[in-house]
Amino acid sequence: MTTTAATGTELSGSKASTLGANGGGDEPILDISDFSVVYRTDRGDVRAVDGVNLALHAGEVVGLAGESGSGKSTLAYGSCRLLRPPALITGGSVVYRGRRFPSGVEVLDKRPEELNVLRWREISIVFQSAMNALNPVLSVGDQILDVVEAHMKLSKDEAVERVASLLDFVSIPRDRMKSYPFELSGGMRQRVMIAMALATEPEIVIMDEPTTALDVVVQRDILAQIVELKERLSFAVLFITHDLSLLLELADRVAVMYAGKLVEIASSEEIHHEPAHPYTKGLLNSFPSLRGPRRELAGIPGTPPDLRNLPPGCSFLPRCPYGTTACQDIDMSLAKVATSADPDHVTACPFVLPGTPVPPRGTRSNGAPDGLQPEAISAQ
Amino acid sequence: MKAEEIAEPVQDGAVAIESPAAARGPLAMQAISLNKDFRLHRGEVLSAVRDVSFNLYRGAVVGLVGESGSGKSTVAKLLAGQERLTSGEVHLNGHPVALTDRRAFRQYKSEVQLVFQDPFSSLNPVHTVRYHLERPVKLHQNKRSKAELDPELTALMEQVRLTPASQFLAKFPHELSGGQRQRVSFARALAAQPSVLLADEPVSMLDVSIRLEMLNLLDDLRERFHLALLYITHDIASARYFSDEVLVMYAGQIVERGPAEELTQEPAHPYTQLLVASAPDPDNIGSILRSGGKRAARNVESAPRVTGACPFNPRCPFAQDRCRSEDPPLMRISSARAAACWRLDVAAPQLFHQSEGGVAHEGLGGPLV
Amino acid sequence: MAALMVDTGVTPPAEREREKRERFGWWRRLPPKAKVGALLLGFFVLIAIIGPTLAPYDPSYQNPNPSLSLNAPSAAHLLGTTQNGQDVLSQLLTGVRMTLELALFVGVVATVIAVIVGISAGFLGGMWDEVLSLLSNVFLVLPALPLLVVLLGYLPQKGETATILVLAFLGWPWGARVIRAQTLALRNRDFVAASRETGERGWHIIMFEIMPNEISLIAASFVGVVLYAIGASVALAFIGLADLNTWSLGTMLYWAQSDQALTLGAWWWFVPPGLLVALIGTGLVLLNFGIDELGNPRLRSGSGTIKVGGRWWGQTDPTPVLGHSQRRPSRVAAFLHSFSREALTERPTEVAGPLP
Repeated sequence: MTTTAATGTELSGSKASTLGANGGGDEPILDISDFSVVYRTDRGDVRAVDGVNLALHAGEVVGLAGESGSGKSTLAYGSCRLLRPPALITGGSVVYRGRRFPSGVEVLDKRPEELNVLRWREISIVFQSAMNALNPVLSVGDQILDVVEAHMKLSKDEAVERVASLLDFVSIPRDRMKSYPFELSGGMRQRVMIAMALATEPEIVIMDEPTTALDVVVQRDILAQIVELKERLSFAVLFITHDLSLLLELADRVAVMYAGKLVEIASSEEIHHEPAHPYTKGLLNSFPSLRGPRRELAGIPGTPPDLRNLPPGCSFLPRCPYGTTACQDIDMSLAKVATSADPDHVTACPFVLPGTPVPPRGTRSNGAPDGLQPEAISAQ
Repeated sequence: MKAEEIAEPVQDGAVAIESPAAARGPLAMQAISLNKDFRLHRGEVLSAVRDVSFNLYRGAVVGLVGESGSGKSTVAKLLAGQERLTSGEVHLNGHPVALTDRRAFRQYKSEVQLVFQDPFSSLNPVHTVRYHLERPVKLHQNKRSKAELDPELTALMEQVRLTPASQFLAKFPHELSGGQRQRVSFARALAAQPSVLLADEPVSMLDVSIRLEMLNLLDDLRERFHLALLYITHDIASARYFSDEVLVMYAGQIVERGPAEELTQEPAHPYTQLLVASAPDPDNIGSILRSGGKRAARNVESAPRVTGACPFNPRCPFAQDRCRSEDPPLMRISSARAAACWRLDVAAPQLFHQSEGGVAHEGLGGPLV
Repeated sequence: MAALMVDTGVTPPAEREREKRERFGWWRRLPPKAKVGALLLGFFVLIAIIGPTLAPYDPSYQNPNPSLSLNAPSAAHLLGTTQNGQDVLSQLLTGVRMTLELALFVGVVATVIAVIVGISAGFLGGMWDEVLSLLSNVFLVLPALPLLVVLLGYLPQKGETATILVLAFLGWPWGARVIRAQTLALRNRDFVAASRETGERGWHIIMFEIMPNEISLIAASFVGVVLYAIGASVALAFIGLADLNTWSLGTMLYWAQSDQALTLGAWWWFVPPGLLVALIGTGLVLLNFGIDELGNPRLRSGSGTIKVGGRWWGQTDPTPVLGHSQRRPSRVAAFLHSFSREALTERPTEVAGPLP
């Protein structure tokens, strides 16, 4: 069930306006608008997430792509208020609208004890490192049991039975219930994490690079499992990764994040074939592909900016092959891509369109050092 | 026709296969039947590397692909002299390597350098970039005075494109990004002026957007210094773009080898086929991730290794009785390709139909496209 | 501190400000515990250095005037006199030097042994590790104080050197164990393999790659040994196992005890040396904690909290939101809220169903 409703950009900050915004009546299950998070440090605030709008619909897989330090994890964890100090949410709104909360809950207004109702029961998380997230001295069965007992009112027998069926779900033999995390392979541990996240039938599962540490074969196996479970249990997935090639295959929609801001949101088809933002184009041109003819790959030269001290205008300007002086004046708000067939395709770059060719080298006017120019990999 | 009738067993992998890397330059390093056993608790022995042979040529890249635990990093450590061989030999420029004493080891290190996977752990947090580069220059180039050192350090930093050099030299590792740290690692390896560079997953800890730039840099350095490069990775797609020859390793053995493009486009061994099929592919319209439906047969992770059987047989869709009782050797498919599989005729029939049709039994050579 | 400067309204030029910050940056970055400990110790080290010259009297001079025996503090004798008419303040000023000096020497000797044993055991591994670990474990379980008493009791002369050697001999194994554990962890880090890759010798790797990473651990172990040495040397002197012709905090307590200062109610005789031992100990403990925090920032109590909306948010709280009032409501307000319309939406409207 793929839903196409209003993207986050068209939603304003208040709950009331989003309620009647879309004629389709398809409310997003998680509606993040104008959301900002900073990290308070002695040397000033690090603006990790800055005015982000993103909507997640029921049963949808939204991919959040960006390099490390782009704020993608901060956005996901911050919207559930799971970040620890010195993180501080400085503004915006996060409205959760699950089946059990049809009229919507403003997550940012919740007091600490009220958030416990939402966490795990409604929104759960699969962490990147299962080894760190699992308790080494408890058997995996006991750990899942803990979650079930803490969040659901079940008798002991029912809870144990539920743990067993959860392990069935993720294709772990029931006799492994008594195993300790170190006795399992990396892939199995990650499956346990997934079972744990699904233990209470949440409506949203946030997956933070769940397969990055795994081998490709195991990775594919686990992704297929996630998709299969999603079809059966119909939860929405917010999938965080730095590997865009993975998202294009897996996600319904992809949001690309750079330096704390979303720079492009579109369906994965659109992102793949009609990328509008120069950063997205760069990402797509960064990974070698196994299939098809060998392409010229360019990559993205340079390093991400210091979030304490962002350049004026577009934060991607220092690395952008299309950059001009006009880019210093834009505010990076998301706007619809004029030439796109997808009405929900939005980009933060007002100048570059999907078909715009990359200007030849040396014509850039933004003064990046020559050593950082993109270079094509030499085809042997 | 049975596979072994078509493909003859490779007696000595380093000799019988014409490596496509040989066209790039002279032979630099030979690994001959490398074996490495690790003694585990309770007297068990783990054969991390079994009978691995290949050649490295100046100016060429050999890609070594495998999953974690396949023994690919152990191969790098064996070649670098960081681990002792259980049996086998390493030849450098035609001479067998004997690391008998410290002097011999240091001599070897000025020819062979290893770049580590994790740039966050391979630089000492208490030392500046300058220190990390100064030491190898002092030890291997015997430049001691500041007047000799400074231009050399600046040149190194410029080679890995960390400019302005003076600014980066004064920094500590924690002040650098992952990509910048890995550049420092490259510079440190180059400071010894090696002829062979062993890169153990040099980009796997970095962001996708930075990986390509780092691989380009490595390729650039290979060309400029005419390095023989062993590129170890779990990402077969990057090996396709970056290597001349690809070796696929599974459970300590090389199960398939061949020219990068041919091997990735027409994989012969069932494991290579699984690797290629598992790589993310945005163009894959009928992807199981999209249909959200039935998965392929469940893969057995970490099956115990049984000697005297094909190590891949528990996961192999083509496994037969013979695969469970006899370990297949590397068998020649064409002049430049070989695979260790009893069932190549079923696993990769197209490779055999071609050879039956055109080329004679002995001279299976010629590009198979 | 920066905030204080801004509040005064006199903002110095940015350049000078930065220079200042760089010069005193290391001090400002120290954890508060380390600062207090360092100040306290610095004060006593200063006394140890200049104390004897400040002393108003010869500490050993026994004033024959019987009226000056066991006098309470007065203008002439700020801390009173002993039974023999000796000036307590002078004894104190002289005694601090002796006590600190001894403890410092013990600290240096024991730490050197600990570093050598710990690093060799961890770095060399195998047989070496087995033997050296066994050795330090044996020393660790030896009952230290009784052994000290026996050893010092049998030694021909009870001078400072003998005490230092015996204390150092028994004080190293704790540090050696901790350093060995850290070395084991560091040995497997890639940067050690990388420096071997460069062709470095073993001793160079130990001295320049591994040891600099253990500085905070070595410092903490040094401080720990000094603390132990002060306690032990005072205790030994107190029971008479020291050169009783010299002045240290321990011998002062010994004489006070043997001359029955407590029964005579001469508090000025035994309280000041006791208090000083306690204060020096406190300084060392604080410094030790501070060094620990420096090496492991997660221990810092102040880090990981943030003040928003008049409330401190800690590690177990949800992320604070700026501008929202999230102060815990009063019990009455919470009770009233439970009747409101909003409260209805905050609770799940259905209970968990069975798995499909």
